[in-house]
Amino acid sequence: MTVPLKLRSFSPNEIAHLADEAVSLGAMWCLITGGEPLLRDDFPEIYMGLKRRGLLVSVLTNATLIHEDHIRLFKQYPPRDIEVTVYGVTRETYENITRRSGFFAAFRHGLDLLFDSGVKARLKAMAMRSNMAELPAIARFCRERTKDYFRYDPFLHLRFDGHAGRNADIRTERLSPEDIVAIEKADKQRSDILLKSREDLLSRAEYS
Amino acid sequence: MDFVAEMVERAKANAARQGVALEGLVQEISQLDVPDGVYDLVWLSARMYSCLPTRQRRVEMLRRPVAQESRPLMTRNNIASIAIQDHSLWDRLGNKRVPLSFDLEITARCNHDCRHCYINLPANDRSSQAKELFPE
Repeated sequence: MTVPLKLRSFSPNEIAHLADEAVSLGAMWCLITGGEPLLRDDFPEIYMGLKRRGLLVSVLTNATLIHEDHIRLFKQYPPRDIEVTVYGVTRETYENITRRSGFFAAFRHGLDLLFDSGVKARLKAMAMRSNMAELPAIARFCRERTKDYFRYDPFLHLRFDGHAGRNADIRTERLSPEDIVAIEKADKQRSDILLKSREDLLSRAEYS
Repeated sequence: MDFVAEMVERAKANAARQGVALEGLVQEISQLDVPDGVYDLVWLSARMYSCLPTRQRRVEMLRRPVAQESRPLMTRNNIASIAIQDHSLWDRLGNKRVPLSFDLEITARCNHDCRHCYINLPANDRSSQAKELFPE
């Protein structure tokens, strides 16, 4: 059965209404995401609307559209954090995944603008077939630029619109559990934390 | 920076009720720079705010036996920092089903066309753009 799914696209009024409702229920954090949220011309108004309601606002972006106006906005009204996805650290891998030529340079430019201006950003990666070989280099790239935190996400969800051809592509990109374990083991910083967490967990009375 | 005027008034009223002097201005939360040694009054959302001591004062409070009058935050005296569970806000939230955080997908459009993406539509998708401007 095919169910037509409504994709999330909100008008400014709907966003204001949703934010009011969430805040009235006690919400404190809001993540702005998409799609690519900076594609919207009214991003600054949306962002400030959420800030004015007192929310801690995070932004998830691919950084390719970051320009000086965003930097000024984020400097004056800092987000709780900005999270940028690093699809690859070579043009070849990045543009093979994102399927748009010229965007690796835009990504690097946007990232430089953020970091050079001192706007705090976090970096994350998707782990998939097309960048698996590059993951150690991606992790190095991220850790060189941010101290606080780096993560990657191996969970590739199928399409909202149920598109069969694209779903087949997504399945092809998925890593096996064994691949993911191998990636975890190869990354000493992550595997040390994982082992330590396991000890902490096992040492708790309720699990012993 | 007074983002929410009525919250500033409520913060002032609460400070008065708690017998706390307000010296600093209410500021945007990520830019709080209240001097050490005073309480900063932090609002977290338009419906919730809380009274936090500054870092220096928290350390002092940890070093001495926990006095009854300084207990709104301290429940243990052997911790190096305050866990969110030790904050009175946590107690207030305890039994409520509060949607503490939420995500807003403000557009389904993207300037990339990632192989693995579950949502993206072309950056110039007309119907998606229309929905971003007007409610359906």
